[in-house]
Amino acid sequence: MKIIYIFRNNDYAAILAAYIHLKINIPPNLEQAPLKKMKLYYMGVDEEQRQVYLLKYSMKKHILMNILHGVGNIFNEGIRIIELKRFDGFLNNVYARYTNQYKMKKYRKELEDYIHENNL
Amino acid sequence: MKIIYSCYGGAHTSIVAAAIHIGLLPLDQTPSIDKVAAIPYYDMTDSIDIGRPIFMGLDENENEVFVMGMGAYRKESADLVYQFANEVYGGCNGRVLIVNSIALINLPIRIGGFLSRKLKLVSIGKPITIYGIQKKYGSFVKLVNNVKETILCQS
Repeated sequence: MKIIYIFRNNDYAAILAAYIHLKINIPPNLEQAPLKKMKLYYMGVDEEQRQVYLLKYSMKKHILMNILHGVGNIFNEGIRIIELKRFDGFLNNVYARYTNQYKMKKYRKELEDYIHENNL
Repeated sequence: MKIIYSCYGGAHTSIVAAAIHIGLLPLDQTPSIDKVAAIPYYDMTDSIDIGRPIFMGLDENENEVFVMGMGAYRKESADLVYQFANEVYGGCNGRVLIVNSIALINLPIRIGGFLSRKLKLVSIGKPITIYGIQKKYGSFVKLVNNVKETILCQS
């Protein structure tokens, strides 16, 4: 089973979501180069042996969903797509300029709740 | 092996190419209007279906043949499919082949497709697309033959 977190522009929240999901210790200064669009980033395997990926997308969402579900069927792979749309809004672009400490504080609890809501 | 014929909407050129590949349409003569119209999924997919692969059948070597409309995101969609195949198989060679049939589109197919799919004037648009397919049928056959040769070389 593959779990794919999809998002448009909030790289920080997406990476943090993956860390929280995988229950990995989060580095206090989580800094990274911007993620490339339409590239599948493998993040690891969770407790239930599900592979976790990140995908920053730039196409229409319904086409992306069709493609991901479709290739899942073609290759007989279970896929679960988690949207991080909530963290992609205009204000989040503003927060992106803030310090890591602020971003961590802002996003961590929200992401933990969001992941819990999705039964992940 | 999985072969995916792609075009813009997944309604005309890719469907015909896939149909030739699996033997629903002949290799040695131009098919009649009725024969083309009778291909499963011909002139049926809507814009909401773009990105959704459609299974057309198996060819003589048991390769699975699919059709997929990729809209304006051909490069990104193809990359994504190959990346996924890489993740599943550890490599794409001999596993997946995406064939772009959009170069076979001519003016009648464009106009007919627009009339049928966008304006829902199917009774006018569909025959125009079939006329366009018939005009360019030799190129479709050439494409399919090239694909089959490529697969033979890879195996």
